[in-house]
Amino acid sequence: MVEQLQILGNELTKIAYQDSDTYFICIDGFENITIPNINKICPNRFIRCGISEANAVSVASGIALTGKCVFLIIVSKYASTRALEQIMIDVGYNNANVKIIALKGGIKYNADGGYSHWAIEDIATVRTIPNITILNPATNDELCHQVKFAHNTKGCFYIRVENLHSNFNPLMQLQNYKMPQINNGKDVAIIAEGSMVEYVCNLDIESIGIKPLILNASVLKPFDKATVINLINKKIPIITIEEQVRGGVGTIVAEIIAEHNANVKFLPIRIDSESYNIVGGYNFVADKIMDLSNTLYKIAKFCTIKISIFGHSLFIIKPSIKGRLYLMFGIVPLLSIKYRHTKQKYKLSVKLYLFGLIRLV
Amino acid sequence: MIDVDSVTMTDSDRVKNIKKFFFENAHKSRIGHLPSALSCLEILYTLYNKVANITKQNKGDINRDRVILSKEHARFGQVCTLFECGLVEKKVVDTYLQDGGLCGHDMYNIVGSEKISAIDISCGSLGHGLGVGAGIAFADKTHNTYIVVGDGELQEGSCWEALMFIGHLQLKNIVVIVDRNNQQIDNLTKNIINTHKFCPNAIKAFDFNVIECNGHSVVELEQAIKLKSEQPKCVIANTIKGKEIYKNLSKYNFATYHWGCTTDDELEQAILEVDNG
Repeated sequence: MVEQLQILGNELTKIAYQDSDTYFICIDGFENITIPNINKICPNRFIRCGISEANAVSVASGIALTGKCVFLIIVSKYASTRALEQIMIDVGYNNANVKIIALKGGIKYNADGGYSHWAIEDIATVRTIPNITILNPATNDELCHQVKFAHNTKGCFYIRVENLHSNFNPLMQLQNYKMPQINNGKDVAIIAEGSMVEYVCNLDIESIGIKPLILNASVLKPFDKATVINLINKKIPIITIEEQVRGGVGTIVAEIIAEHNANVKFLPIRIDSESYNIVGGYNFVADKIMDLSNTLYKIAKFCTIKISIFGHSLFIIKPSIKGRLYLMFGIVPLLSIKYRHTKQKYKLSVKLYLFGLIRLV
Repeated sequence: MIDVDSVTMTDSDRVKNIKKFFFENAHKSRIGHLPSALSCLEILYTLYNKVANITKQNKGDINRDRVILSKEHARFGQVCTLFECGLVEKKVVDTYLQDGGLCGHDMYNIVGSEKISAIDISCGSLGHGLGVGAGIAFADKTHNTYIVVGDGELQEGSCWEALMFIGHLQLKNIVVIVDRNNQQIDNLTKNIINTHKFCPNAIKAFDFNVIECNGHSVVELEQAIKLKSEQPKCVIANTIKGKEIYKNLSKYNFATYHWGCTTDDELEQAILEVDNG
């Protein structure tokens, strides 16, 4: 995390030099590592708000209402819970030019104390706020890109930042409001957010015979509905994966599927447990509340179809050839059974059966 | 209509006119929250007419003083005061809280939006004005920021975060005015959480210069707000919550008194009280 904070700090320091109308507010805990130099560069444009998150947001809004741009460095959990009303009213409702950099997203910082520090519901809560744009980078490069974009775009932003590693930096075309694509699979689309993008890329899904299309949900609001609709139209099954409870990316995609009355397979992988009374490292906790160590199995099961013919079961991965398989297995036993009958009966049975199969497929 | 001849009319006469206008229009539009608006009406009159440099020419500008009404349920008193001094048009008063109206307690105000540009901020629920005002005062040290808060509102923790912040940074261009009317929705403030007793010393402990005055006297308010001070100021304005309709408190419970609109008789009685006041 230290490396990430330094990368972020460098980007903000550049902005401090370039733009004398930008202010920086920091809650307790980030000044020394993230922005140690900003106080020296522009002491009149830097404020320490201490352990007063709600006030930090209100002050940011006040400064923005004098015509300035404000970056607020805060922890995701406190921003989206304790200071939520201030973000809703002082920032969102007033459309104040405030860029909230909400650090420590997700559950990777459980060493800090557990549930009280996990930002696992902030997508669900913050996305209800009017006028706000929500960004969610998957790499540190993308974080810098989004910080620059937010600075150059008037309005309120919530940039939620999870624990990202600098050595994960796949080639992605960073467009400002569209989901960047990591690779070109067609068997299943996996929409991942934040640090889950790296996790999915490292899963080696191709080893189970599936070529996934991995998409980075880097803009949560306004969400890239067009890409999801495109997947729906191509009947590509969709998986979402996030360190969030219900209300996050999975819910956003489910809403799009439901609004389009789409008949597409969908699997949200997220935190479904409410048993948060857990102590331990990230892998232990993630396994308990997200069943994360079984993710590859869940994806395999999602992409598998089971065909039972006369009591014999066949498991096929690759749903794209499902139709042909049904047809093939449908006709072969039929031919062998009906062979003994008269020609007329045989023809009639084949027609009816084929018609039924086509309807199913 | 209000006839304003600011050269010959006294402040007292102007305030009376605003109050009659307030009662008539609140009655017509069925607007409540009357006592809360009445208790800070002289405070707002003093701010807009005697203290803040907000004029018809600069009201849409961001380079001017600001008046933040943190106790936003008193907004109708604010719009009547602003109309009287020519800073909003009559339409703002007539459409207040009406379908499609220009403002209510909350209002979305893009800085510079002409019709309501004299109204500086929409804070919505209680406890926001001090923090937002502190941010404004920090960024614009060449102008003053006046923040009107309620004494019940000071029960909100966010107020104290902001007061500590202002006191720590010694933002001298802020004046906090507490409308100490000793009541909130359910009861007297002292019977719920006694901010009347706690707050003056607590605010003083945050390195504020705390001054008390009669919140219904324009002269005392002006003196207190303009007092030279090396510290940020907090003016505790002692007021009566709805003194012109105070008799209604014996008819209704506290909540109905806080929220309710006037009947025809109550309107008539209120106008008489204003004239005799």
